[in-house]
Amino acid sequence: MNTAPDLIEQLRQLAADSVSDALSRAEALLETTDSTHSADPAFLYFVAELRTRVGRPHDALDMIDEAQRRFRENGHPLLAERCEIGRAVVLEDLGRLDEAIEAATRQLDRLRASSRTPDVLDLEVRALVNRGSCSESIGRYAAALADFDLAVSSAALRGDEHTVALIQINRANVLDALGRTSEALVGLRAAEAVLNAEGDREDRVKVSINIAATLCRRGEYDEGLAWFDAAEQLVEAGTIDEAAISVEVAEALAAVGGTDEAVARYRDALEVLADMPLSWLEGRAWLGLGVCAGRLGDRTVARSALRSAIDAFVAADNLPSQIAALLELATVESDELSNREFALGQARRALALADPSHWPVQACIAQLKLADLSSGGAAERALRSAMRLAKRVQLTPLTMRVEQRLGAHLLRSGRSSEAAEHVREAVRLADSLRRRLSHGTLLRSFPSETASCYSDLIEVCLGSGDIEGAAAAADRARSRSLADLGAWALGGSTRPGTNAVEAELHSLYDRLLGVGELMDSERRSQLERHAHELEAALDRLEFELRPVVGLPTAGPAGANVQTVDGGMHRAESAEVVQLTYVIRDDSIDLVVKAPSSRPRWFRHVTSVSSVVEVLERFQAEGRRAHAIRSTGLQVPDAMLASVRKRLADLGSMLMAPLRDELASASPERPVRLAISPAGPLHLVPFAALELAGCALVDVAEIAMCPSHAVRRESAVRRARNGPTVLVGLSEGGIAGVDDEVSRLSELWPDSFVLRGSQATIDAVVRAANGASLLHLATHGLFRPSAPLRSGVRLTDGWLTASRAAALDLSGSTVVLSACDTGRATVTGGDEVLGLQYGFLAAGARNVVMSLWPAHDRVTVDLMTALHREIANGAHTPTALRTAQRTARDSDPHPWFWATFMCSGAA
Amino acid sequence: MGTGISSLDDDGLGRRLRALGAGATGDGVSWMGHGPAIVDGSIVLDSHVGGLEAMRSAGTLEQRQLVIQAGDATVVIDLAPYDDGFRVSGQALGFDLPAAVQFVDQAGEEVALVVTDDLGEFEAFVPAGELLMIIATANSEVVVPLSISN
Repeated sequence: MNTAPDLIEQLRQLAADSVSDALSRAEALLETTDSTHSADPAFLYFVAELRTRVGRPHDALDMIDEAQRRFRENGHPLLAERCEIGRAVVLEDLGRLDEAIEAATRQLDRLRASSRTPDVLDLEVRALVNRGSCSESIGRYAAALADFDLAVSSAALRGDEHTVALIQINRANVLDALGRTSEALVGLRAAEAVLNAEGDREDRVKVSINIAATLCRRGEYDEGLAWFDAAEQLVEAGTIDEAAISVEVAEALAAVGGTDEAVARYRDALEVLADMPLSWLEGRAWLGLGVCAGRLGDRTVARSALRSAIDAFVAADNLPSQIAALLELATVESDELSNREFALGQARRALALADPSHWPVQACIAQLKLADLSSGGAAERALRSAMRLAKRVQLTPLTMRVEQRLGAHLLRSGRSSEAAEHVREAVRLADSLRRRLSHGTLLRSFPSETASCYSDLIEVCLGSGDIEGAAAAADRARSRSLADLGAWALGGSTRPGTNAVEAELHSLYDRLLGVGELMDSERRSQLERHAHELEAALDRLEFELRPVVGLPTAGPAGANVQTVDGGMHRAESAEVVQLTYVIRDDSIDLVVKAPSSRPRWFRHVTSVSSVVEVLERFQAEGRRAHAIRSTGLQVPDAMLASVRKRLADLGSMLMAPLRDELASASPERPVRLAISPAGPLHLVPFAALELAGCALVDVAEIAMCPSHAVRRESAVRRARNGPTVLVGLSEGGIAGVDDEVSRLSELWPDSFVLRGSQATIDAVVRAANGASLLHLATHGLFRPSAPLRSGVRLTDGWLTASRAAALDLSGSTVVLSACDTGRATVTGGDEVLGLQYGFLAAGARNVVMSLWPAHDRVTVDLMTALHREIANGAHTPTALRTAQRTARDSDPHPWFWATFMCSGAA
Repeated sequence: MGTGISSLDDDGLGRRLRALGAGATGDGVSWMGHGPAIVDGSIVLDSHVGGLEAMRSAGTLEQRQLVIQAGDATVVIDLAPYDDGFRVSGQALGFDLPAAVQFVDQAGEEVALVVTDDLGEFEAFVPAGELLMIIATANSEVVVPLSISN
């Protein structure tokens, strides 16, 4: 006997108000002795659905299996297949993604073998979406994309535009992850058109939110936030929908570094949710607030928010989120030494909840946290347990993290040879991840993990006396996103001749991403061999491609960089002495690679704290010199003497190993230095440092670089024959800008000039694309908490780092004649995030930027001298050196003449 | 509310302190001829009032700056709120170094006394209120009345 459909409908309505209540009633009905419901597969399936919705997917699985068996017995194969769809969703919830993919694959085989009725086709679309969604979760983006594409085609063939639009949203998420945000946007906008006409309000909200999130990922925050606003307009104020949007906005903002703004949006959501019953959404808001507060160092708020999150997740019966909140709480508490035991307790609680058979990913993460909070044997046991779990779930990012942590633990324990294996595996996995993911994703998630892998590799190499390996690892450890972007910058608009090759590369990547889906070990190793072959093919292709796009042909070492002709640019020669600063704990090492010699590694040349202390004093003295100059007084000799002492201190700390090289140089024959700093060293005015009474600017020509790999990529970009573009905005009392632009236009008579109200974002972007020289004289703003939103002021807004990254500036010279344009937030992976990142990512060969606030009047003279040199054919670092030495004659305090530095080609 | 500093009238604390100082040495008004030369410092630049040369920055200044002139000597001060009071850091230029930098409240009580390093730099933590800053060397004293408030 079957349950009356009415009863299911009745319970469904009850579930609309409270899923838990509906489930309690349904489970009570199942337990009654004369229950006919337990024999009804439709009712069993419905209960399973409710259990999944309240976060009990593991309880749902047996019931789905039973419902499926009964449907088959009762002669309803299609309904049994429908159960299979639900089963895949539950398996995905349980993190058993490989199993879900295999089940979906078997189901698709069955469906394709049966008659092609509309119901079967509908099920096929759903199965494809399920499999695609699991592949996406596991990071197999190419496979996911293939499934979503098939699902779209199938739904489109049936004329089901509504389903097509919904699948487009899933598809866009994958494209986003692959960095193909333009394609994602195209799909989303098509979906929006359909859902606006046919979809319900929920669909329209969903697509608007996705468009907004994609725009934010592209760095188009203003438009992205406008779409979030549009989504907000669709929902009623004070409702749960409004709160849901606030949470989405907050998560998008937090992901791009807008922590303060994210906190405000989380609070907005919580205000709306305050009078509603505890829910998963409220938990998400509290969790997000807790994470952001922790990031901002406000432990009190973080602690209280995370406790509220746990309460909400308990009420919503959502175990994975509860575990996540407990682990965050452990992180916050572990920052305080006295709370270590409490933190350990939270991690253990999370581990107890994370039954490895149901929640292997969560259990693995909990073991990692436990290892963080433990020491010795306990930490190693936790790490080995984490390793077993990571290998079981086959998630590369997780395996990479565990390998890295185990390697680091063994290194710290003095077991270097055991550590080496894990460290090298972590590096291999990190590199493999970098190949799969878009640079935007990497920027958000991986730099610090990657950097840790490389730091450990440095230790391993140094331990075995492999200095070259250590030096290479040191350079690979930093600014990977920018380096990868340079190496793989194959944008069609920049290099129209490479589209076909790029397409081939994409196809190779897609094939690579598709491997490893089967769990059979023999099959897996076969596929891995195939993957290695493909990687080799990829490397060959890259090598063949390099001359086409103007990249060096000599491979990563770049020892024999090809000569690039043209205009103001000079190719880097073998004369360049490469300096790489490496920070290990508080210690600073220096790696010197002189021409035609092996790298030399100088350990502990100084400490980070010593440099920071002197640098802060230098900056304070600089600000004071600015104040004195403002009174019309000469900067006193005593002040000059004191600032020179600071710079001599910094010089002997940071440059002493170079004494011999510098001693043989002279103002007429300067040594060419390419300096890759680290951490706080990015703010050191190297040109002004003194060694043996001589300022570095007198004996050296300096180019800074985020990494030598980035520098080499910059160096071989071909100079283009584009226009010189001069932009000036003198609003806000910086009258010198007008004078500067006038003087520069005399030096560049054919330049394209945008002044005042002409200097809109659109006009500057249009003019800058393809320019050979771009000069921006205006106000600058550095935003430490959202560094890619730092920018230079234009009439109608900011030209931010993110927006700059989308420009086509390949081979150009960019001068950012404004305040703080060279400041950057240095992330864990030594990714230098700020305007420099944006312009180098856009392809600039050199970027001239300020290390601190630029004095309006002094900058006019300095910039005039710089451009005079460039116009006479000087290479940018040479031109800056000459300009700085000239400026020093009238303003001897380095705060004025050493404000600017040059990044990029040496 | 922002931090406020202004010069006091010459009838203010400066005179009282000079009197206190004279009393302490026990020789009446002999400071003019035999003790250290006392010079009134005057504030020639207060960044919050204006006068700083333009910078191409859209951000706000993190701290307030004062330039004080006293004869050939110059003192530059950075002032920033700190806990309940203020952190005063600066550099004394044109003095025989090291110099003592003393802060005295209206009651004549010393609230902070620090010595500059050999480059003239100093740092002190002082309460809000009306204070005198005295920079003293063997040969001279520069007295600057300051009013520091939230």
